[in-house]
Amino acid sequence: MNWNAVSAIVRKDITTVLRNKGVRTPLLVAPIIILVILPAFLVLGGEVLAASGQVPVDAQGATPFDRLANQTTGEATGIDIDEPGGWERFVLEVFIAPLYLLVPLMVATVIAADSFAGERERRTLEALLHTPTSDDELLVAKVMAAWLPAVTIGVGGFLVYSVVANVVAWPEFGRIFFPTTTWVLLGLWVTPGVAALGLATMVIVSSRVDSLQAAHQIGSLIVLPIIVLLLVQVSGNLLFNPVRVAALGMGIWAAAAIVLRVAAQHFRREQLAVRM
Amino acid sequence: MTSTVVADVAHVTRRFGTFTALDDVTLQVAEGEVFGLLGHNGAGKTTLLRVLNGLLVSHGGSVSLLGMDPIRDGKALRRRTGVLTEYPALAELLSARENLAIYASIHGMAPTEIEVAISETLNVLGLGGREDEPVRGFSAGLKQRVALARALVHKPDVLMLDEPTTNMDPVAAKDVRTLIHRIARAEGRTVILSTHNLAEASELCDRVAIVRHGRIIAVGSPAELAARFAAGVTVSIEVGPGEADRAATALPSPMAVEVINGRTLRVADADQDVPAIVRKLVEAGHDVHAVTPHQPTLEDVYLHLHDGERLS
Repeated sequence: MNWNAVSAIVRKDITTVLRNKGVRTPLLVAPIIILVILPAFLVLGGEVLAASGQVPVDAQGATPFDRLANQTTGEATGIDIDEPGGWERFVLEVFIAPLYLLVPLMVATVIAADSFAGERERRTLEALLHTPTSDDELLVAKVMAAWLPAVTIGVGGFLVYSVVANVVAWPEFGRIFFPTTTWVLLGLWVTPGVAALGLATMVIVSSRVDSLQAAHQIGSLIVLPIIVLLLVQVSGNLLFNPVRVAALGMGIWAAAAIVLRVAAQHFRREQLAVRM
Repeated sequence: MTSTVVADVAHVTRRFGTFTALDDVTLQVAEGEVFGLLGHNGAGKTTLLRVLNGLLVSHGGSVSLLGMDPIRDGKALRRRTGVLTEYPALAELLSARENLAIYASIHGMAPTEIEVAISETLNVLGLGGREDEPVRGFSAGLKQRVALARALVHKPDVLMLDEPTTNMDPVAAKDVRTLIHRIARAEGRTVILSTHNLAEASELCDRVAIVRHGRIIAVGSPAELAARFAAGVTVSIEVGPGEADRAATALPSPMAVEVINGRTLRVADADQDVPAIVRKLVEAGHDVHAVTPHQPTLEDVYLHLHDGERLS
């Protein structure tokens, strides 16, 4: 493997992404919404709304937030919503967790679509194919160019979220309570796997479509499993705990390896040149 | 061919589904030669370049470039070739210098070599001090210069140029042709040029292969092809205003005479007969204002071979 060539291609692609406002902005806005604004709103805003008396309360005096939390929490997470700080822990530990996985997934798919289908659409792929690189080197370079930013933003988002979570919950706990073991596993074990799975899928998608738009449209379907995960999580049917998250990560990495292997079979110079 | 053969293509066929893009193509390119592939869009020129550089496999025949098999030795081969693709294919948000540096790295050049090579290449191609600006803001001509610099930065033994002046205005195209001429001649580099521009092929190429529907229908130097396929010298004769029709009837009937406008005739295959033609016209009472011989060009050959017509 010619790592000089691989790193040169990675550098080119990442620099291009960093300088492209149209790609860079959504990559930063979505994590900020999911990992900063949403948790702050749910924790701080929920308390403000409840205190204002504007939130409908049922016969038992429970708000819709309480009912949602009650369905979800319990033995599986060890969170008691009626305890002080129960709501904060529900939002910050449980509710945001599946949404957080959207961050690396989205970053990986957006960059991968741009890197594969976008290069072909912009007619810049041919110049790369004429370089002294093997098919595997090209694939590794392209995958790394999407995976590294996705993992950086994913792990960076996890660190930022850790600060946000402790800040917004400080009035309730008065101490640093985050990250939990589950979240450490999510941030450092599951996130890189999700990014790998997302971009491996996009390699296959991009090899079968002719435009960046089509790649984005099909690629957007990748978030569906995360939405399902969110619903399952919120309904209390499969709550994240360290064991489950470790197993989830293992499953995602295994899936990523399989999909990447299939993707490698689609990523052949000959096949790419035929479609130019 | 006595000099070293750099590219040896024998009976190569390449199909895309039921479409045959290359059909039994055979040609050789000598070291230091500027060799043109001349043909319409879709004739198979780009496919041949891609086969030569190992991007596409051939479905029959054999290909060797720089003594290597493009598929088996693709990586080693591409280290010694430089390709200017039909579109500049630059990373538009990067500067010219960054574009060159990345491709130099991919070609395995050391960081110290890269700086020197970029400076040298930019000196040759001259980007007017704009080498550190993003190429997105460059004109088509300037982008093509950067793309050409990228193809040259690692000093390839064989340079392949695919339609280098397509989509360019005449001034920029002339500029790029001058550059290619300088690069090819100054450094004795082997150049394989794909073009549908006849003037470009005439100006730049030592030999050309005329490609039609994936087949090579003629190979030779522009002069050889003109002698082999085109009509002889054509002569334009200018007579008095409105006299051209009458003057045409004054010439002997076997001559191929065409009236171009009210005062201009064109006589084909007239290289040996010019004094006799002028004498006939003067005897018939016409004033002869000008006689202009036209040597057959590559364009004449091309049109003849493509349309099955000889220009008269």
